[in-house]
Amino acid sequence: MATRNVPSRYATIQAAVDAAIAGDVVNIAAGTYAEKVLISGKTNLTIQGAGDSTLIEYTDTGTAAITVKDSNSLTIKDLKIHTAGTENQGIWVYGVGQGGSAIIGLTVRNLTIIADGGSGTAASGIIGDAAANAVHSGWLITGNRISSAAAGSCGIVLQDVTASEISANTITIPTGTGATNVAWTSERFNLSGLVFSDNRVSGSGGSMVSFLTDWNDTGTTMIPADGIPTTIDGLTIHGNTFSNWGSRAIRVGDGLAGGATGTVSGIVIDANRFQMTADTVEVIGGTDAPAGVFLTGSVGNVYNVKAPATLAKATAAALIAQGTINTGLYEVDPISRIEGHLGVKVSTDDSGTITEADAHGNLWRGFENFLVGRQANDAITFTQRICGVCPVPHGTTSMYAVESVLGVSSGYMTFAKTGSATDGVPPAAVLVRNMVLASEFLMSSITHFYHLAAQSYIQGPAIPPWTPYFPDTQYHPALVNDKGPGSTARAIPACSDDAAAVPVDLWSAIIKQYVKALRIRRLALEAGALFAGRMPMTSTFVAGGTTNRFKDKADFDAKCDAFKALIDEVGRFVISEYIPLVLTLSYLYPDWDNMANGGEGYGAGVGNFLSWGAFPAADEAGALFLKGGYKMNGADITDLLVNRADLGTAKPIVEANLKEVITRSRYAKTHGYESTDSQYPGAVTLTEPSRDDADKYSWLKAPRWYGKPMEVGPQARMVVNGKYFVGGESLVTAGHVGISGAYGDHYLNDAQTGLDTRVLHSDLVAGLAGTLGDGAVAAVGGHILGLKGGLSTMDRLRARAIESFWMVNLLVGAYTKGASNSDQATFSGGLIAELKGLWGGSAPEFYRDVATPVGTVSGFGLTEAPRGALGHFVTASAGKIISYQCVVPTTWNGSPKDGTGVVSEDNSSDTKRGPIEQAMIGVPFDDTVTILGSGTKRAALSGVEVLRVAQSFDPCIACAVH
Amino acid sequence: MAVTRREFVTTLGVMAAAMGLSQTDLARVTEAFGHASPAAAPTAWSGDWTNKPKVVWIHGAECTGCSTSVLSLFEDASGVAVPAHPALGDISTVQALAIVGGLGVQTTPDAVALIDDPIDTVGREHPSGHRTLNVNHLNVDGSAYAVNIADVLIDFIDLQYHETVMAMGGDGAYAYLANEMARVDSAPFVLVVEGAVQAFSGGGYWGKAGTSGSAPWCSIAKDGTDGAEQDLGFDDVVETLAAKASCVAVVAVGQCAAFGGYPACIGPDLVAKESHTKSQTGAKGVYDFLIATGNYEVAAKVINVPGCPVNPWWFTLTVVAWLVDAATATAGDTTTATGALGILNGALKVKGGVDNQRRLTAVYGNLLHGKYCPRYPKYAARIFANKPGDDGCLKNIGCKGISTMSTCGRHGWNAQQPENTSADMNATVQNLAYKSTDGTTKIGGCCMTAGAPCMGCTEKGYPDAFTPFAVL
Repeated sequence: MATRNVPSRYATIQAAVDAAIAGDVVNIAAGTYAEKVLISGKTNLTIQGAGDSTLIEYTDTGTAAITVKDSNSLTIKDLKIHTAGTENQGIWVYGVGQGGSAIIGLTVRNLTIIADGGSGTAASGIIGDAAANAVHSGWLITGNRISSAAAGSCGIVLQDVTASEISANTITIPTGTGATNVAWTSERFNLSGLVFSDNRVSGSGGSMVSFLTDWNDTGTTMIPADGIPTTIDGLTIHGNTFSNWGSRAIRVGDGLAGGATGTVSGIVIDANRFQMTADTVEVIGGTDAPAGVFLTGSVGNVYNVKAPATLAKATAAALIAQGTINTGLYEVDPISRIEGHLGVKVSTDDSGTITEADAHGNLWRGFENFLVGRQANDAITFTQRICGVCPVPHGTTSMYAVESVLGVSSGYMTFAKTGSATDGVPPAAVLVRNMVLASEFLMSSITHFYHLAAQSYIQGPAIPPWTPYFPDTQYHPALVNDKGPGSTARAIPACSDDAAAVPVDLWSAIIKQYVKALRIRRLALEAGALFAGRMPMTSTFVAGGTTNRFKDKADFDAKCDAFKALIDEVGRFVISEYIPLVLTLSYLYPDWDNMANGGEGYGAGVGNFLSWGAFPAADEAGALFLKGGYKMNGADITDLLVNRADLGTAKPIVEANLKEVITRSRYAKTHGYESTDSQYPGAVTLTEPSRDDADKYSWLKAPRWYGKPMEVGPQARMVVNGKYFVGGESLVTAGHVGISGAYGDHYLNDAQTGLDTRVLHSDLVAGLAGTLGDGAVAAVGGHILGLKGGLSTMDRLRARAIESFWMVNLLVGAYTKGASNSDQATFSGGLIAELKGLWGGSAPEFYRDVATPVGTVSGFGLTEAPRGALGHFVTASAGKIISYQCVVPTTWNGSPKDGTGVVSEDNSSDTKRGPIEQAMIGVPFDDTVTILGSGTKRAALSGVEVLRVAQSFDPCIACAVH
Repeated sequence: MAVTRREFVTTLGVMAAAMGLSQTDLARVTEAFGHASPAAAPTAWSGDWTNKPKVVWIHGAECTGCSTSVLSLFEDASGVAVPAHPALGDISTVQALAIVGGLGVQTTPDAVALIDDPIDTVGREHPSGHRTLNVNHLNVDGSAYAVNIADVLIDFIDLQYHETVMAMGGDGAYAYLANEMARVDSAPFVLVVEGAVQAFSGGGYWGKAGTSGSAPWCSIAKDGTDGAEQDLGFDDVVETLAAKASCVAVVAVGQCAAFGGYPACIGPDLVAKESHTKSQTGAKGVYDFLIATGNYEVAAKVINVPGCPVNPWWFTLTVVAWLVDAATATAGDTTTATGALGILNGALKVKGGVDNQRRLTAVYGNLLHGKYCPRYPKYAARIFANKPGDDGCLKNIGCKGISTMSTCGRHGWNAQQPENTSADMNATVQNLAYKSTDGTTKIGGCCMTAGAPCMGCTEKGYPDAFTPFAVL
């Protein structure tokens, strides 16, 4: 066995091939080779390039870049071929017309073939002509990207090739040219064991892929007519995606009317995806297809087509009935009232129920790349700009990550350097970091409910931005109707087109609570800014602690007192207004709660929860206020990081089981992803975009934990910490810390028959009684008493509100009811009291010196953002960043699929949906709005069902993509 | 829909109750919104309260930090909106709003009193702007004499599109944008851009990949009709909307929209394997993007309001100044008129009052490094911090105040006022009109107060030209 290197040893590829003997490898270095290669009479030979950088470019006519003749056990891999001449093929296996004999064993792997043809004339990527002497066999054509821009071109043409496989290729040719992407035919021999799987196919004039008998067996120059019918027995078409075809996706059957009549049998067509929305999808056969060749057991295909009546001709009906037929295909983009650019493409069945969803993030900025080469410390400032809604957790995580490569901590999380602890930052810095982070949690959660999510349930005031108002009669007819009170031109409200019946004062009423919440969220930011310099982007975070300095104790005390006063007000709002309102909401929207729809609510999701944990105590033990852990659907909670002592066990678990998958994400297989689609983020060096691959539909990567999509966020944290339940448990059972126990008894009076008027805001009590009558308070109280924990849109909203209570508890301590109303409620203790107590005789330290280590160090930081688990992974050399990767909450929740296969409804298939995508399944979707006089069915103008589900995750796409 | 009409009506009643609204509140709020339905379609903004300036706010390559910041707006209504006007001296926020509202220049010493008058002095049907500032009427934040974001949203502007705030979503939002882009007869509007613009195929390391079928760097809406999947690329939306005759101003809010900011950071070239030379995606500020695409006349509409994030007051101040100027500029001859503040000509093109980075000098006219910096007295005394937490001027640990134009020292952040370390100067700062009157303690205020060096976030070239931020 020898390796024959081109061009270092052999000037041309042909020279190396000619010299090769059995077992040799012809190794072609990167470069462009303008030659035509003939492989003739060889056995057991491998020809390999260095990927796309090895280019064979040949522009002759009527021939091929690589010609194979009379050779067995041949492998051609890892190179690129470009042909431009008329009928100039990429790879041509000679057959009967050229005097070629049968080829046993041919592997074509990971090639890029662009067969352009000259003057728009046909050229095929790979063509295997039927041999005269025997049948070809044992071919494997896999992982290739084959395309042609020339009219009439074909992707792959195989004649008389048996027991072979075409898999995982992307084959794209023009439409409307009479060409076919794949033609696999029996001509003079019977074929069996044909596998066509996991390909992505697009283009064609007539049939896109066809498996036919005796197609050319009519006396062409290539194949002399023999008049003997041949058969295909055993054909598997599995896991492919077909889109944008000419007349039909698949044609199976007799090759040519009037010729010999062969049959096809043993067909399995399953788990394919048909993306076409044109009128004709002829899945199997033509009008002259022989009867009885169809396997009734074919299942699991997904048909994304406009109308079921046009699905197929004739005999395909039985087959189609066994797949999922999506009759609606809609884009809901933008998903508004979230951070950033998210859209969701949904497919619906005949009943208008969502059967599939593709969530796609629509912005890429490239943060991970432009951090490379910078000072590690700058990452703390840079990464806060990933997201302006939640910059603090990025700053916090970045500090943890950077400190782990600057020798301040051992990674994952930075604890207090106190007692016998040898690493960490001063306790005061730990407190300040926690306080600023928790302040942002409060701002974020309150903003989420009142200003973002609530408008998908309640109509705001009758002016923009709450209600679209378009006085211009020229405006889009779809957005104008006459339903608004006092207006002749008002858009359809976000929540329902029944809105016209609702008095305007009720619509408008909501604004008061809305604007009050605007104030509360502002106060939370102002509290954080007392120690962060400013919010939303903090400026005091630095590796080694924080930059804080106070003029004197009076200055320090004044800031502490101001912080407490601000958070006290936020806390009273959370407890007496925010939480009760959220708990009431499902009283009004039962379908979206977990006890509707057969024990689930709309938007249930994956049911797997992950939390990295956050808020370490500022002492030696460093117990986390919210611990890290995870819970797979139906399984028990597994702890990950409960306190500082767990670091040694938690870190290797993260390194071994956290992966980011890019199969459907717009990134290239480079810089750590060369040999895999699934990689630990610490092993990824750069993030290279790939904009042109139709497989890839989102800028988000797909993080997986033990291979599974995980929901992260408030509900995940509360579940992992035993403060919320998802198994149908009552939320108000003694011993549960969910609503009773720790604070639930605040809401209910001693008899637990209604809401406690010492806790509820007096306006709330009066309002309930005024509108619903005297029994309303008890009725709502009864509803709250009956709440259960589960999987639904409402559970997510509830868990977020309940977590806000814990954030208040963390910051300003335990809550004491007022004597008669909520305004008298008080708090005592918490982090602010602990911080204030640190200034004894002298000012506490907030910063410790950091020495820049020599050599290359890798580390990571993990914490929780309002939206969920957040991780930064960094490698630095002498304090300068070599690589930086972020795995962000909405990257988890909004992730695209992790494969190209068809996904089962329950997401248990090999390819899995992301949590937001899975949460869309089964949700009803109104698609009855007809606009623009075209009669075209489209999504309801708002797509509000999709908005509700997506918004319950509080997505942040700037975070998720970065 | 899962909810029937009956359920929905019931729902709303309960929700209103649950939100704690009394009948009096309802009536008040209802009245507040009554003015929002003018009988006739507005054809031009007339500086009239009842016909608020239409604003279309779009997000590109951004992080929503500027929206988050602006949503935290809270300012003293008696604060100075336009300082040192040649004829009028300092113009308070309320005076400025009165000008914008068509009440003309009020020289009454206490402009607030005028606005506070519950009687509509000019016979308007809906004196909503008055009400907002009137302690006896609806002040949604419960804070009299303060301008907050709710006031702005309800009374000052007609915010038709803002993806983080608006109720519209999905197809409705797509249709709104697509039609704003297509129509030729739109009412005049202000285009606010948050985020940098990444040209689909121009510039950037992967620019050449921007062929048909490629994913845009930033798509802000998608048409899903029959699987058409037509993206609205952010660059197209900016270019199209800004170029409309009805687009009277383009306000680039924040560092990214103004100058490219973080998306324009120099990154590694993964295609040509060259050294670090340029933005990966060709991201630019709005002005540079319009110039690069040959829209020179359109670019003349751009005013920059940089900052990372923008201070809500800088944004408000810029917009109010623009509106004051526009109201006076358009009152005269359209070709020769000049706004009262000298910013605009009669065609509403920017003609003056801005610096070479197109920032209003009224807002960005002061170097941060100077007497207003809370740590300036330490600098004067030659006391320098050498690590975080030290007393002294922050110059040695990376402060960029020496090359940063910003009011951070005398008008703080998060409703807090920086305390100057000089007692005399502190008195001056505290007496400056730029302060809040929330009643909360004003003791925080800016990066330097908290010991963090200025990072230069209002300047063109940030962040690349200002790193490393902290020199430790």
